Amino acid sequence: MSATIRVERVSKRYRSTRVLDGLDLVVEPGVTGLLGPNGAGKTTLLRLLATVMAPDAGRLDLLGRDPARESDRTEIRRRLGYVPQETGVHEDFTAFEFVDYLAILKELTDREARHDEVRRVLDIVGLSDVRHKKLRKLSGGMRRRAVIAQALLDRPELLVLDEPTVGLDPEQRLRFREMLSSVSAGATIVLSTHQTTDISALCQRVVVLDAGRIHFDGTPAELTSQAAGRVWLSDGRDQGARVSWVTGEGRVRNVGTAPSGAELAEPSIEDAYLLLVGTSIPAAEPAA
Amino acid sequence: MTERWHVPTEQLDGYLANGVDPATASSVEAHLVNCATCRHAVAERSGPTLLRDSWASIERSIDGELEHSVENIARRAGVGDREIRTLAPTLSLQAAWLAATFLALLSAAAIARRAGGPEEGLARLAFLTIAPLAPLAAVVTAISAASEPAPEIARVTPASRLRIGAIRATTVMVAAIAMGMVASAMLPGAWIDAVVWLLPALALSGVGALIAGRVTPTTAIGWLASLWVVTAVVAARLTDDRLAAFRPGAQLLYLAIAAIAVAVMAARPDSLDQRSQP
Amino acid sequence: MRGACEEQPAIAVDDQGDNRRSARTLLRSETARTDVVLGRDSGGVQTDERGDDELILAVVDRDLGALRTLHDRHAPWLAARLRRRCGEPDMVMEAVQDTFLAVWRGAHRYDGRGEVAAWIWGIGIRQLIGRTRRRPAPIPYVEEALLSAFGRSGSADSLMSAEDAALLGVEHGDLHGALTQLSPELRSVVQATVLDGLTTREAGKLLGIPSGTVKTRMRRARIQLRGALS
Repeated sequence: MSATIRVERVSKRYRSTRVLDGLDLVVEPGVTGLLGPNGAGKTTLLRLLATVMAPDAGRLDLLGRDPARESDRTEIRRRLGYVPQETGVHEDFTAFEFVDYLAILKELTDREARHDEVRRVLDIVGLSDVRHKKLRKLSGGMRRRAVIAQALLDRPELLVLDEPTVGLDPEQRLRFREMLSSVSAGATIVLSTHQTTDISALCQRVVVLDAGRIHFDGTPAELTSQAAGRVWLSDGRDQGARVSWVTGEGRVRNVGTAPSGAELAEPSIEDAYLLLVGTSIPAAEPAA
Repeated sequence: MTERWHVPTEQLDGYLANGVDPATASSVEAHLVNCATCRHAVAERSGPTLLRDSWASIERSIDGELEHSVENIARRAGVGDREIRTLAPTLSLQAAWLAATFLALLSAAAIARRAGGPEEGLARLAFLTIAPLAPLAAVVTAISAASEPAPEIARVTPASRLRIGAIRATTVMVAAIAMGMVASAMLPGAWIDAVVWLLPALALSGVGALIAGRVTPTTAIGWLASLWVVTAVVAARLTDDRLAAFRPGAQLLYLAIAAIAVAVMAARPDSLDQRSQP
Repeated sequence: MRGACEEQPAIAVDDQGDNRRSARTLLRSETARTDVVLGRDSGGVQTDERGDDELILAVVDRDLGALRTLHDRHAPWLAARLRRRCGEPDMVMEAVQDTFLAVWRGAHRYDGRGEVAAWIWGIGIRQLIGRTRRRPAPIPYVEEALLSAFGRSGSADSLMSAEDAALLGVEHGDLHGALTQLSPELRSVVQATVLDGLTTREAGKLLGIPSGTVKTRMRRARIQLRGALS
């Protein structure tokens, strides 16, 4: 499969901070997850991929085109679906009007065909029955779904989603997974998230971003295996551990080093993530 | 009240096949109005395809209607869906304050009409100074993010931002100017004297449109409105001519400013877009 | 002379109904208020257990799923009943669809009194009348029925007084006998105004007779009925 996204030595500043620092990245069709703490630069990177803004240095190649050139940028946008992190939506619109408006902006001119498409995407996100309710009367999660729906219009080749699962309850997250798998095969989906569970459930590839740099780029399994042999369960905290916390079962999970008498545990993707970007915690009283 | 008696199956089937006598048919019908159980029995017997097709036709009609009667009128008048959906947020945002400004202008004109001597002159000055502010505010608001549903998403659609900004700005500007013209008709004296605010309006709107993407609408409107009012007042003081800001020399200046603004907009289509930084 | 609406066979009986749809729950009673269950979603058919009154309120609140449930519950019997007033299936289907469009737009007009089904019938029959282009030959509206539904049919200026309505509100069996003694023309007028809830003008349009004649016949019918039932 050929790469649909190439990021070459891209940098972006915001005021005096280097939000992205000489990033190199290649993304292929499928679902790629961007994992990282707040302030890591995920939103900025996604904005670059969605042609919202241009990098200060480096080049981008999206769907074989150069977003720095206006005609290419319009062509990219014809094949793009974008869900930003926060969207204020025009509250007077109904869900249908909102998606229909964006369908018009995506140049779906024939009204009958356009309405069929609007119905199709609203059905995918489960808003069919309430599509004629004003957005201000819908819950936050439903508004979010409307924004996701518009991104699916006209079956984009490139789908950029910034924290799409935030604010969704577990049932809706499940539906979100179904929805992602219903999007065309061959499309390239890049989504950002805080939640490691999203990564294991949704993504074929994961990129860990922190402080504007890439710390990992590979499959979720590869990421998890980074923590192999480095996760232990014990009754007490280890002061040298990278991260350690009390689990729901009352034992302490230590990532990094083992306190005496600890058992090795199966690593999870969260452990690996914490190993990569977590900071040491100060010493605490051992659990009784 | 719950109906305890239900239509026997054969009778219902007979009714649906038009094979019962009219007496029975009518009693079945009267019963159906009151009995959900038997209505359900009828529903079970009708073809599901028919029901699906019927519903599909209904929902297409509902989806095809526009939410407001004004929009439907516009559509029948030939306005395209794109224009209607593009303008709806702007117009609903601005309708209230445009109406308020219109009333203010009418009041100023009414005062000028009824007053005499120095009061008429002051009222006329007030009118002429306020009138260009309506198109200015209308244009700046139309271009600002407040008029754009979901600005960050809209920005990355293929549709031409310039075209959309232009449609919005032009429509509200024309509306505001039309309002001003109507109010002008109420001013005493020659009508031509009453429309000397037009070129200042165009100049202000042009400059406003250029800076609307760069600063917040309040800032843009605030600065330009203040600049204009100060200009009008200072010019009046300096020349001892109350309407100095509206004399032919000044009008030429406004024309030049408006023309330059339009030229800049045409040369740089991105100028109507929002700032790229968050 | 052919009328615009000729009698034709009604809906084809279809035993191979969609199983999922026939699993739809029935109302336990006319005024049941059950908890709202989410309606249809993404192809999966869930049962909508809301009562008709609740659905109307939901439609006022712009719930399209509620309208669909109302449609699925009421369109079949409405179509069947309209088809007995007008034989052209296309005209009937259009009237049915326009009825539910009218429900969508005008749900706030339902005053909460009486059956939703009766309210829907009122809309439906008027939609049909509106579509009738040529004056139809008088349909032999024979037959009667019991009209505890009288008040709910909502005929505002029906010539039947409340007393007469009570007269008609007797047992199914008795009424049948009394009304068969009326001549067909009187019976059809009674049916149109009392059963179908039409005004004299609407009844006249449907039966193809002037309003004055409708009034006259109603008067004679009332006299005969009083005599027969006393």
